[in-house]
Amino acid sequence: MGKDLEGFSGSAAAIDSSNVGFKLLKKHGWQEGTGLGISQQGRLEPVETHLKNNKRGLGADKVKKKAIKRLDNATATASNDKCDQERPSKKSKALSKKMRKLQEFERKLQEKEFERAFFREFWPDNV
Amino acid sequence: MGTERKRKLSLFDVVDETSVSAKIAKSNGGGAAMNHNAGNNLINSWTGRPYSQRYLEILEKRKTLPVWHQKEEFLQVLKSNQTLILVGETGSGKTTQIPQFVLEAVDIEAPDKRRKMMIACTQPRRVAAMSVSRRVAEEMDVNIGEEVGYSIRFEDCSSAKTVLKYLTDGMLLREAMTDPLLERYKVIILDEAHERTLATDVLFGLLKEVLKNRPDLKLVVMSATLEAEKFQGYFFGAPLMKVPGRLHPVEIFYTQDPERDYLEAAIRTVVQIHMCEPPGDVLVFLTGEEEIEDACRKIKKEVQNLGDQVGPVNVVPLYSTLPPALQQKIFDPAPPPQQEGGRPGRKIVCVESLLVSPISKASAHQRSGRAGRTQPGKCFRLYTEKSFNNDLQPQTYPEILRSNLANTVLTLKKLGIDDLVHFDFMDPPAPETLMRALEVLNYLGALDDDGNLTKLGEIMSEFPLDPQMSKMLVVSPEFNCSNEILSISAMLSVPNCFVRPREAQKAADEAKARFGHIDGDHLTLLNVYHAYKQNNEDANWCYENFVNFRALKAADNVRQQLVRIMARFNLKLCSTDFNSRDYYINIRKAMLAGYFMQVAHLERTGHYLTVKDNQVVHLHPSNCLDHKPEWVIYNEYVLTSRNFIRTVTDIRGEWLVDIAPHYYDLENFPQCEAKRVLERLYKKREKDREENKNRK
Repeated sequence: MGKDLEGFSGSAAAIDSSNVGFKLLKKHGWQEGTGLGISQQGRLEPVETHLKNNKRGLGADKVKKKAIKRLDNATATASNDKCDQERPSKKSKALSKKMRKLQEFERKLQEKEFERAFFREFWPDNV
Repeated sequence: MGTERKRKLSLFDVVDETSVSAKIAKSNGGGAAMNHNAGNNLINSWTGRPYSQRYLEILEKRKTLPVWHQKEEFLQVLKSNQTLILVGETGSGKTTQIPQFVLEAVDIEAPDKRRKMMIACTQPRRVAAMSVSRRVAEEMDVNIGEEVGYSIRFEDCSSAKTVLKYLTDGMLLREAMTDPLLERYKVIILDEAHERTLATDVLFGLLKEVLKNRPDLKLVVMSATLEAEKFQGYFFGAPLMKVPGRLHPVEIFYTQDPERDYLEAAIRTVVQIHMCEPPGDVLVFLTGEEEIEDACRKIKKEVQNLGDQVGPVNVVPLYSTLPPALQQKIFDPAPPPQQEGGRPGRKIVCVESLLVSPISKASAHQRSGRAGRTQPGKCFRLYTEKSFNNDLQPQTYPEILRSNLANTVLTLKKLGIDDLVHFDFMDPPAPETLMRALEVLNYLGALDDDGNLTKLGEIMSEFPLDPQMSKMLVVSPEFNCSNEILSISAMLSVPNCFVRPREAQKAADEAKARFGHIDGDHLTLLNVYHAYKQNNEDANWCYENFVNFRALKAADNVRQQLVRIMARFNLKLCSTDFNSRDYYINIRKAMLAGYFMQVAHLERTGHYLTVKDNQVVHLHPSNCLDHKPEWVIYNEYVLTSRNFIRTVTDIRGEWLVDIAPHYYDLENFPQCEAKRVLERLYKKREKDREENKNRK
């Protein structure tokens, strides 16, 4: 249960000084801009959570971004790099194919989600 | 198929078998270490009965575990220190053996000589606490629940005789609430400390205080990975002992390029291993149930397509939601060759990781270690070596930095720790995380405006549940429906009770529909519970109605425990007359009194928006509603490709302002869509009032 909620705290807007929790923490002796802990060594910002909704492997996201950049350079400077030249023509086709694939994936996920609801966590908590 | 891989040298030491056995022989030669004298070596000092044959057989096996040849050393360090840190890779035998060593060497007689004190060994997982304690009871030749017991939420299997208790870290924390100095324990062992669960982290800070006040108490912190310096620094520079795991060399392979699709890559790699590698089983780490089932199916299919070229495979899924009987399948042996002299079979187990995020270097290291437990192994990492070095963080974030801390703060307050800001956390959470927890507890009325625990908060902290659910239970007598709220809470605390086998989906859906309550899933759960009781808790009835008997039995047990807590605080057990039209209304109102922060509103555009943080959400397809209510409370927020709210019940807008006006107070609401939604509600309310006046 707790894990499902994780995204929550990460995605919500930062807390301002009118918030009850903010006021309460101040009453507990917290000073703005400092961390918690015995020597105020704690981190200042919560750990960010990201929603991963593809199956790309570790490091594959970054390469993709780089590749797109390289592509732009290539079209601008008309580079002779074979690999880069081939890509623009494929790009549009790949895009629509990708969209279709994405939609398909989305639909499949929804169907599965329904089935999974029936075989949920055998024990919801560790404790 | 031909993925090229980079070779990397082994990270592990090879344990020299001959030196191990020599050392074991030496340590056993002493005899004194066993704490028995030669004469009654065959009598179990715990039970006074002669040891069984099985005990002696197991003992021989135990003596080959790596921890055994450091037994003397361990007991020496334990004797001369209050705290010690023991690092041992999984497979060293530390979880089962160390508590027994402690038991043999430490005098557990209480100062008043009237009773025995206990040794505690914490586990992050309840399954581990149960299975390890059973194993240890067997090793000690005693009955489980007697000298050796376990204690997990809603299940205490220990007695006055118990001297060694395995318990979840959460349970030990709970015990500290009534026994702040943990005086029933002589030695506390925090096992799997590297997992850094929320409860273990809180215990760290708590035990540091307790140790100062109890010079006679000893603490052993056991961890599988080397964050040694951090642990040592935190625990007053405690001595560190290392136990080698029994590991053979493991070769590590990386991919040359990042994988576009890790699942497809995993399947391809498994098939490749099956085709090319010598006999040996395969363990595949995936992110969850869905992926695991998918992978299992595809691997089977791919291997089938290869026909006689390869040996048979046994592909086994393993995830927490799988019924225990199916989980046991991982212990089945690999299948035999199909014909004599045929290619050997292989077992492939697909398991789930606890956290769906890139692994840390430390966990990657630990996982690769699993390949070398019984023979030299290979580890295939589906990313590049560069990614390993540059993209992975060294350690996984401890749970305390990733979780909602409402329950933790309530526990800390109950433990008398008021200075949360300067509490000695090993890794203090961010201020914002603590603010959110304080906010929730203040809205629930568990903390007053100065942050002090209220009477209500004190009672709430006694329930081993989320604060929202505790609140709902504590106030339910005011709504004259505590019996029903108890049943609903119990049903929400156990695994999903509806069974939907693939081959009988339609029948299962029809069966579920018969329990359905059009106003919500919570009420549907109540119907199931009532039907179960009316049918005399009959397993056959459950089977015929596609209801999980075990889940219902567990719910009934949970309910009994909750009733006991209610009784302790004189909370009345009551029900509204079933024929009254208020019967369900009272229940829904009581639920709202706990879950008023988990409300979603139906927007004109047809989707739901959470009041708390304006997230677009959808009713989970498993819901039983026959309509889309304007307002719903939900039990769970499920983040997937779509944001779902699961287990929802229809509530009325006007109840929000009646029951939780302090939360639905527009002045304190930040400017956002939720506020506009509420303004609409207030206007509607005003209009209603006016109309009422006019009518009069």
